[in-house]
Amino acid sequence: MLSVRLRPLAVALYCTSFSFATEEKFTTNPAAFAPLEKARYLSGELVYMDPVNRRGGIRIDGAENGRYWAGPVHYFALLPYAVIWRNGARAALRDMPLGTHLNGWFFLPPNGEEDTIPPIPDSLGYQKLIVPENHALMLKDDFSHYARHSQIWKVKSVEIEKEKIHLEPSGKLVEQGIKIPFTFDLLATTRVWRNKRWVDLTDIKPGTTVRFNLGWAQGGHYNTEREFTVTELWLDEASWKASTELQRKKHVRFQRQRWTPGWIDEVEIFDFGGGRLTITLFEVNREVIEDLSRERNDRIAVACAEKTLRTWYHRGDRKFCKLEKWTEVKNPGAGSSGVQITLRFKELLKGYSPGTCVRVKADSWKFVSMPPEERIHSIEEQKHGQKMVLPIY
Amino acid sequence: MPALLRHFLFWLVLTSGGLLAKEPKAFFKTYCLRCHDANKQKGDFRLDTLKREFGVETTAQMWVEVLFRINSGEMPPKKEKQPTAIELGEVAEWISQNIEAGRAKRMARRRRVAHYRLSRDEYAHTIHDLLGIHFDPRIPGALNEDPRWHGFDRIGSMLSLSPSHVTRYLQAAEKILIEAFPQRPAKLEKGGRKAPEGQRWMLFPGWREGNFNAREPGLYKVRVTLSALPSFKGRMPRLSIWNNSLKKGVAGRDVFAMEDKSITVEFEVALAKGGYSLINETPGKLDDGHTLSHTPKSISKLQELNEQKPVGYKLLLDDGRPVFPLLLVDKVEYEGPIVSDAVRKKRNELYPRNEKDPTEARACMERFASLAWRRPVKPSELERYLKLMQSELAAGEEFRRAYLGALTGILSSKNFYYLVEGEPAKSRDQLNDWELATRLSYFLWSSMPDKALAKVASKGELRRHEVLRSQVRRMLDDPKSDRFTDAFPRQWLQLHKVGMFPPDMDLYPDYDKWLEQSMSLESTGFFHEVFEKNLSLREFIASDWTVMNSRLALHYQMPALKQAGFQRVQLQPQDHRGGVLTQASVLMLTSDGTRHRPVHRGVWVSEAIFGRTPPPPPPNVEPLEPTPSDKPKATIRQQLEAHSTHATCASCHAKIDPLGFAFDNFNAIGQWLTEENVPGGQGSNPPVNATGKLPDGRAYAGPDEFKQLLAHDLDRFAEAFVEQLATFSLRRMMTVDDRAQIKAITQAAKQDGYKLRTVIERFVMSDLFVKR
Repeated sequence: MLSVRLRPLAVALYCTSFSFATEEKFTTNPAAFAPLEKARYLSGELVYMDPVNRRGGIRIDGAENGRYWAGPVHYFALLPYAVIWRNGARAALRDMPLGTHLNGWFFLPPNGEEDTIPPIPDSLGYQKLIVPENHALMLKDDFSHYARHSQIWKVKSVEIEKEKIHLEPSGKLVEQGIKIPFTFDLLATTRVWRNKRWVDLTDIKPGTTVRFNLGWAQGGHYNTEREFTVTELWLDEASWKASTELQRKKHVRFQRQRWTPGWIDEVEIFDFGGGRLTITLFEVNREVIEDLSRERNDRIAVACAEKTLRTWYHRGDRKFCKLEKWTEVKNPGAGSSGVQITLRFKELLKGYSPGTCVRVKADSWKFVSMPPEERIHSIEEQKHGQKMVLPIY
Repeated sequence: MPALLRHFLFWLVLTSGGLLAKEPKAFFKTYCLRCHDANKQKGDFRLDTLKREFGVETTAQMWVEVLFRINSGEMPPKKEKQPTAIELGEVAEWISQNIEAGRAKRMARRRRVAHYRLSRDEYAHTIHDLLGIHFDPRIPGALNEDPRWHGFDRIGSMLSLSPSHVTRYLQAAEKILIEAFPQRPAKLEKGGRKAPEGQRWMLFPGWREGNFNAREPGLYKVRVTLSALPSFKGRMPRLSIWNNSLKKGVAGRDVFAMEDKSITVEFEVALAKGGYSLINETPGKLDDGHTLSHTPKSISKLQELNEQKPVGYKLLLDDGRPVFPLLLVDKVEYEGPIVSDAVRKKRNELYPRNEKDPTEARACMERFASLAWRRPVKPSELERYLKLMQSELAAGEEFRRAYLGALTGILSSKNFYYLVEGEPAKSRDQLNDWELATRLSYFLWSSMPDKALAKVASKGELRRHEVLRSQVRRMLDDPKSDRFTDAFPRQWLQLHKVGMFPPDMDLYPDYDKWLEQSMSLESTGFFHEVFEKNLSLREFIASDWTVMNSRLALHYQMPALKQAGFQRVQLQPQDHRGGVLTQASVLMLTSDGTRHRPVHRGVWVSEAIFGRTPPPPPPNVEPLEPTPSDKPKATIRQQLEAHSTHATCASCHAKIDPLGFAFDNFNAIGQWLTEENVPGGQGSNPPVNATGKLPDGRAYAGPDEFKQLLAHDLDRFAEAFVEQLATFSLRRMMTVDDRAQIKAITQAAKQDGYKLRTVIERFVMSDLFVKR
């Protein structure tokens, strides 16, 4: 644990959970990918989730100005092209356990979508602590965050009886997040993995390179430093790779069931029936994209989706089409797959308009009926889903 | 030099008025007789004694065999001396022309009595004029389709009679007579349907609403109150009355009316008994039931569509304009069956008022037979039918059934469905008055003579020039002449072939049935306009106007029309249209649904414009293969030019192809292009080359110049046109014997600048028309 003397240094090295890449406030365009470098970084614990509508809430880290004591939950909506990483692989919001400590990159609401997150109740009078950047472009757990930036953590020491673990970062340090030696809580409930097996806390040895995920720590005080509990700890590469692979498989399956999302860049309408859509696919797993690129049977299906990526009855409310053109750009921005497809349809749905979201199915994927809570059934439900419904705490 | 010679030969054929080329005796002597004469008969065949009487079928068959052997390259044998391409062309031309002339002679042969069966359209028109019944001969099971010869479906020698014909004539007659003389007169019924209160039915393409039932067959008035909104591209909606059981539109029209200014459209249409509905018959049929379930079928305002579920069909653009042509229908009303006073009077004259009066029954039956058979009926002829009726009555049948049974016999008699010329007792070459009246009325009205014409025929006055002229003029002014302006161009231009090869929808996704119909309607509408305004035949070759609807304007990439329906439209040079040659119908019927076919187009021009049929292609011609993926893209013209290496092919293609290459700027459905869309191959699409030279050396660059060159040589076209008129009206092929008269008619019409009505009048007044 850091000594009191070192704390100012820690503040300098430990990039605060409030950070701007630039000073200016950036507003996203509803029909353009927002640049990650313009986002505001926030980190905190996932405390609320509406997985169907891809919305949630985090309790932002820190206790400054009474934030821990009275600060409201930071409710957020995921941008349609938002990317979530868990255990080093892409994930859906529903994959993230409540209580997970997240690193997030947020924007102000896109123009015209200011009402998506309604005004937050301010019963405790801490309105000033509300952060207006409430549309997330990216969320990562700590495993993913540090691994993606090649920041390596090594065990310095373990104090099981004190329920503490001391870790040191090395390698390429992250710009945002923890990048100094840090002491975390280590509880009997912490799951420790080695050789793809669950092991004891005593198996944690100093000098081991580890990956971890964090959660809430019970010692958090109203005006003191942050504290975190290591909720899950991986002691070797085989273990963390296994977790990554499990998550990858899970998410690929998820995408093939819900279909891969994208939005419509252009619509060319024929007045004799049908038309042509140009769609940019959002960032998804590569094998999902490759399924589509192999299509030869004019059986790609496209369903209308909301900005939440929720669909109506996608296996029925879709049109088949022919893949006419496939273009790909390298190093696309966050959220974009870099793949743009041009599809020719014999019939068009009303919802096929520039800027609107769709989900695209490859012929090789099975048709799956979604349960009713995931479907939209009426215009009323559609409108209802366009705004977040906040819980009352 | 060989090229010039080829052109000369070609021009000789075109300008000779079909004079048969001179027998290529030298060819036979040089290349054939050494093995096929008195000294040697290889294959037991002698050419030197093979008769030149091509009118004899067995002889013609032998010559067909000779042509086959030469065309296929089998003769002369490879080891023998080989003829040049020009020599091959000459001999193939001579044999083909003679075979064709012999065939025409055989088919045009007239015996003492000639029988010409009515085509099914003529049958229907005759029934209409006789009894006021709208009989649709095209519905399944009605009448057999008629065989055609070069587009004409009324050639006597082609229209044979089979047991199937007789059965269907009998069934048709029974049905028609029951409708004309029902047990209880059909009650005029009025009815209708309205859209739900405050709503309008929305008919998007293929959607139907407003069901109603025609309880009795007959003529109905159907009124529809609606708004009709064009698509964002200007395509007009097409409102049709849909026969629910036949699953096809029975009447339709383009409609245009703003959303806030509804109009009432009235159809007068013959309906068979059954259910009908209104349909928007524009392309883009929406038929996914799941999506339809999310798409509104009635709305109060178009704007409401913006508030609909995103999973319904897309019917509006983001700016509010309709994607498809839309109909917003308030109500449909109908009344029928309507029997006009004239029809009622006509039927009353044919059915006895007093069923118990045998004299009246006989008089009515005689009137009926005389009208149906288009001549006075002999008592002995009538007696059969009277006896038939009497035997039925004697067997206890009620009068109506017995009487209609006799009338059924009259309508099923050969005297009804055959036009008969001549008499068995003596040979004569002049038509009598009744025969002339019949020929004239079927020429101009596709139906029986009316009372006025029958009257002058009965007086024996029709053959007098002034009477005939006055009758022709009267008949041309009669609305029934619309049947001529529809039937003749369809047959002359072979419009039955439009849509014969449905276009590849991947290549031509814009193609639809209404476009197909519109193509033919442009051609018939164009002919009607020339007829109505009595314009020169020159207009058929080149004109600065056409008759089109909004669908064609879209197809031709011309500005959207402001009115619905077919209308005369002024053309600009950049439209590259005008005349019949560049109408989509003609350009399409000479294509195969995938590619345009310059050779077919050349053959069509040769037949329809010059009246000459080129020799048939040799057997086993290799088809043009698609461009290989490793070769540069090549136009069809380039492929053809590479293909015509065979000597015989080259000689014929040199004659045909220049007539087709001129239209290479038009694709398989008649759209203008400057680059040919070549699937496969490497590189970009090659530019179109629509240049060429006429046989006299005059060059053309594109279809517009080609048409102007043809228009300068109007006499030749006029002769061919008269020949087509004669074939249509005399119901036989023209032969060498008719050529002098055709030329004379043409020259007489030339004095009046080849005005269409003048041409028709001169033709009717000619010996060719009034003689058998």
